[in-house]
Amino acid sequence: MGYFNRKGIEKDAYIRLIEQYRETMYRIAYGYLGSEGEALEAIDEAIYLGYAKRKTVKEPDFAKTWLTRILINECYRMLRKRGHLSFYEIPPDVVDEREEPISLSTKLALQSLPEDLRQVIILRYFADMTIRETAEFLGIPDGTVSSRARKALSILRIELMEEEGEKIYEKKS
Amino acid sequence: MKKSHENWNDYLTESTDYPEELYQATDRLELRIRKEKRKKRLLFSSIPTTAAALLFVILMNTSVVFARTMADIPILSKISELVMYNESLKSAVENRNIQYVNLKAENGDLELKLPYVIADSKNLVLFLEMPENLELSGDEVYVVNIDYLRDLSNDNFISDGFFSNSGSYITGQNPLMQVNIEFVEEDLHRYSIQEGLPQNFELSLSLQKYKRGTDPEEGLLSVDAFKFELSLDPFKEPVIYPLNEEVVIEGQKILFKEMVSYPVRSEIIFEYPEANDSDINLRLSLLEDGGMTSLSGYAQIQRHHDGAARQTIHIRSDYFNPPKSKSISIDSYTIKPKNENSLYQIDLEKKTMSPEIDGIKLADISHEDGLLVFTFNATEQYPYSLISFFLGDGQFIDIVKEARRSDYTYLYYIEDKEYETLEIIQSIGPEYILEEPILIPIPVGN
Repeated sequence: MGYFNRKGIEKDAYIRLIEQYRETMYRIAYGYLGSEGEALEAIDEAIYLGYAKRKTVKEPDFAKTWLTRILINECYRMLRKRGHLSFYEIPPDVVDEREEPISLSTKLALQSLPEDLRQVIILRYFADMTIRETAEFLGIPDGTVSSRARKALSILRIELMEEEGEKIYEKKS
Repeated sequence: MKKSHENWNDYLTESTDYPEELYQATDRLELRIRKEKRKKRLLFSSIPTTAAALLFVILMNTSVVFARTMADIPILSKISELVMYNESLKSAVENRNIQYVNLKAENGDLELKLPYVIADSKNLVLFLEMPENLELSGDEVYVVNIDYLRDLSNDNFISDGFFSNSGSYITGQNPLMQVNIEFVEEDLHRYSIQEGLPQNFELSLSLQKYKRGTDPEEGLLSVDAFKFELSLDPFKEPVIYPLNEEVVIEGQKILFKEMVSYPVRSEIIFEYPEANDSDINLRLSLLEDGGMTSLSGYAQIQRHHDGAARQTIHIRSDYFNPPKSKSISIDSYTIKPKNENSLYQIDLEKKTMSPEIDGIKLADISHEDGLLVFTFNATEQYPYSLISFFLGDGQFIDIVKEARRSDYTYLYYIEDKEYETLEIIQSIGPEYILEEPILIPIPVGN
């Protein structure tokens, strides 16, 4: 007879996990959705789903990985619901106003990447995962992570120095 | 206009501009928890109790599986899930090889269920219940991919050495999906040998969504991974049915030795005596209650350590609806004298082959899209894999593709590069179709 190993996370521990991890979750959701409002919506939904299923977590040590998966699936759900938006359909209030607005084509290009490439980019550059961590999360070899990242960046026409731990952007404190 | 990498850097920086609302997420969670609790209390009290009670009685009377399941499902409203599968459940109850495992795995908001399996030492059949909330449009399809098994007795990963196949899942289909895993026999090219299915293992699989009609590499839309831990009942020993049926074709004997019957499939084993002076290969069909199924192409003859030439054909069991009668039908065969196994040299510049093969002429060698194309004209019909290519040191050269035309022209495509020495062998003899197929009755099996 098969069995399902139930360990789970207590509510207090789950809340602490959210407080520690929410900024990473935001970056991941923003990477996928490109919008502050939608990223917050995805996070709220993922946090609630995670709470509802917290007692089914087999290995609480890997809770962040588990929660990341929930979040990513929620982002997919929202992208599917949104459908394919062309440049001309995006309403002006979705664009963040800056002196030089970020090219929407970068966001759309990332959203248009094949899923296996997009996942690697989001995990590496938005979630700040190392190659090893990304490989473990996706269940693929380290080399595959590197090659997919290179391929994705070349499709996005971005040249970056791909060194472990080094990122070419500045975080706001 | 900003450069791509400047836009990229801005995008990354923007993702770290955390809004104030992010830090109130846990407050919103608490509010929602309180709201959902209020909703559930209202819902539960509104189930029509008479209808639920009636359904409960019917199912308890007709299904042993349902009765066992009741211990696992605390909420009365879950009964409706089982009603959908009444047909297969009824058959499953009657099939003594079904193992009821009742497993669930989650990935985000997707829940994949594995209610039962059929297993033996070489095969595993999974009966998966697809998630209720799968979103699929009309031009999309899900398939199940087996990623690996992990033997829990020694922690070894098993990622090859088996075939797996699943149906595809499209919108509106019955959510119960079957996936077959078969461990390979020895000596199959490019497959490592595994000892067979472990009794206790972790199974990792993924639901892969594709856009229909596209190249699999381009059309993959999403991958959702799931893991199950299985602890199976001890495997039943196969039942061996002696056949001892001898067939003679063009003076060559074939002995249909025995049928080994497992819960999931049966193996028909036949032998070719050493005294045969030609290699004969059979194309077979399976006849069940008047219906015919092709048993794939000409299977490879395996020469075993004891010197015997043996061939094994696999027949999948119909565990839910076993036939009343079964026969093997020999429809056609190839034949090639045993002493004709020598290598033939190819001269790429002169476009010649030496020595020449009786009945097969090298007509042309050309270049096409990075491939070398060899065109052979024959005087008779041959099946696929007529020719194999080798380097001078005996190393096998992959055939990228092959084609044949109705005028007995056969084309082979290999990678276009510098070959110091290129050799070929004729792998198989001409093909002859029997006017009257030869039928060999076999047991129905387990």
